[in-house]
Amino acid sequence: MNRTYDAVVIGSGPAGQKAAIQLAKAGRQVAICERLREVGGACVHYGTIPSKALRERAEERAKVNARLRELNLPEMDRSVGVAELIGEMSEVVSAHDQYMTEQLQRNGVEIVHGRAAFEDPHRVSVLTTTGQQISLQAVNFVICTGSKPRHPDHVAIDHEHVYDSDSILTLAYLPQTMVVLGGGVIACEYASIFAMLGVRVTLIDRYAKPLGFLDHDLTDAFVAAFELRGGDFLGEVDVVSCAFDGLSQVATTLADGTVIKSDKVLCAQGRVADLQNLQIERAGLSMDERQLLSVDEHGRTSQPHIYAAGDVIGPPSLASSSMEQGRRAACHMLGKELGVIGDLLPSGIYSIPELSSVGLTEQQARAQYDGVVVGLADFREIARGHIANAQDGLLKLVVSADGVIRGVHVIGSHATDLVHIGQMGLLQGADVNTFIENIFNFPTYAESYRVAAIHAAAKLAERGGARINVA
Amino acid sequence: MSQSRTEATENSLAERFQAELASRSLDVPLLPTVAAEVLSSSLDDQSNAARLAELIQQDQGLASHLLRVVNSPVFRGNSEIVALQQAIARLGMERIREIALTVSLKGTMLQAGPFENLVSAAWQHGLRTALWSKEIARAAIKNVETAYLCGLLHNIGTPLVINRLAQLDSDLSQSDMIELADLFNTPAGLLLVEEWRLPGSVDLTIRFLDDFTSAKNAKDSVAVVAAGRLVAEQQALAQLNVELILQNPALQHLNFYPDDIEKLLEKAPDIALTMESMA
Repeated sequence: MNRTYDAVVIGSGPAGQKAAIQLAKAGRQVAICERLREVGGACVHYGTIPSKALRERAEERAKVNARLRELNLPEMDRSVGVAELIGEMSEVVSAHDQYMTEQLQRNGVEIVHGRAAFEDPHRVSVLTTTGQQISLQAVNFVICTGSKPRHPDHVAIDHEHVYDSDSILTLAYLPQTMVVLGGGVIACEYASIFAMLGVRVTLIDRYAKPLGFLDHDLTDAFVAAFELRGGDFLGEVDVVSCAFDGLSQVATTLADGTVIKSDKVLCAQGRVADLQNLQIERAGLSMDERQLLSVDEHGRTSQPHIYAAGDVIGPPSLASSSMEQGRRAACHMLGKELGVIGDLLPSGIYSIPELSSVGLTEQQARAQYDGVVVGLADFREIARGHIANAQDGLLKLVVSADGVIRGVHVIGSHATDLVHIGQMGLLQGADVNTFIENIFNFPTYAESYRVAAIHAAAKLAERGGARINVA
Repeated sequence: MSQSRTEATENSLAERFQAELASRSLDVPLLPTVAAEVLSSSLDDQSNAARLAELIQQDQGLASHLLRVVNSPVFRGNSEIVALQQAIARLGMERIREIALTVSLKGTMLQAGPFENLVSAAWQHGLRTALWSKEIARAAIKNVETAYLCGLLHNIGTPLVINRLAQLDSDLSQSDMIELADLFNTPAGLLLVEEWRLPGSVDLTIRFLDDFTSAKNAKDSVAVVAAGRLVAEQQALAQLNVELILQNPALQHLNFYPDDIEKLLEKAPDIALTMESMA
């Protein structure tokens, strides 16, 4: 079977979807190939959405248990399955799948369920689950095949005792103990969620602190909160082996010979581009030294008619940035002029507590500017925090000597939403006065911007910053 | 016996069995203590190896059967396993739990009599389905631990039906017995689920095995067993065939491509050996 299109998009995750829809809206004949039965990619099925659902349930249970303790009532039974905790998840995923499928169909995008492989630079062959081969020819291609968990050689991942970040949510029950290998976003999110659910979690990373790209105050606050819930962070530690011991536990052996036994292990040591089966060499492409596809500022690979977007081109590997990369690749293909993509990228970590950040860290700002000050707002001083009983939080503004805000860092409830106010401020070159002289709704978490701005302004005033208004 | 006589007998037996099911007067065997221990702790984090070892040792027949299984070529290493603790150390607690569950349930359900061959075949099919389900779950990134249990028990109603009908009419032909066992396998299985308080995942598997797409949130886990059942059937008939397996809706649902199936079928010799060992 042979079909011809203006563009074929390979992969229906956030990048692929946006690229396909952008092209279809411009009247192009587009097909999107998806290896899985449903559209949405790993983001919907293994990663972003299911893990956030588990996180919500963990927080709900913690709140209910806290209330039960206040009432001297027994806490909820912890012998609950992960599947039960995310019980409605398959409905959420199905609904998401249906919505996205309808959206693609409404825009005239043809969905081809199968595994694509290049035959030559202008043709892919799609193998269906029934063994049928479909040949798709196109003027342009967008490779959005995403990523898959990295499996280090020394970690024996069997999806039964040692899991990766795609299989961890198949756990049938909550173990007593868990080792999480890695210190990145996925590792920290799951480590904190399972700790909140009552699992004794040991987080092991080769670096001194987890989430090393964040402002150190946020990292320290994260580790403190994690350890308060019974978690244990082991930094600057190398793991030499990790495998099921053949009895009932997984043995994780550290470089110093220490063996840590746990019921289960999650290996979350990064993700790698998923180009398996795609036969990119037949299209004249190859992976770079980082095992990724290199692209120019428009998303073009070394073959100008083939674009790539999303995890397959490497960091930041966020759903949000992938969508924009997909859209931009499509726009370039259509000859549309676009502004320069903003380099002010917010990061959101859905751990417990939630973390979010945009702009410079305090450490980066001090390296670039003299007289940097920070303004802090503790959620204990924010009325909304009291009302919602969510007082463990902090908003930090990093401010240069001229009062201009250089970075915003938030830990606690609604951090990932709250950071966008700061992002808009940074884009406008706002200074602390912007937050002091404008009125915020009361009571809101957003009010913490004002509190932090006043704190920073006071410090600047002490140094003689005349143009700063201290409330 | 004339054809009409056979049909009348079959109808009357079916009605009687149906009535016993409906009135819940069917004599359901007790869940073996060891199986109960394994089932109660399999989804629990408090699994207690010592307690299970103690229970197995209290049942001489079970302990000796289990030692025979672990000393079969597929499980034993270089030296003979002479003690349960040694078996646990060699094979791991999870494997011992699976073997203990399988052996203890088999002992309960397999009754001597004219239809022993049918019960045995049903049991073999359950075990083979369990082993394939586990490998399919691993490949499809679904829960591996529950796949074995659900596969093993997906047809647990069949021995109950056969044993009871054999009591009612030991002259029933083999083909009539197979027909009636097929007819009542699901309701009898669900009765056992209830009486034995088996996990909800087993209930859903039995209920939706022939229509996994209706299993709502359990669609994937039921599809794993439906796929395991198909591959088990083909292996039992020595007809493992990638082309035929590819057409199976459960494997399509689980997103298996031809090369995934070829890789899966590489497990066939290991599973055949395990089947021999557990026999």
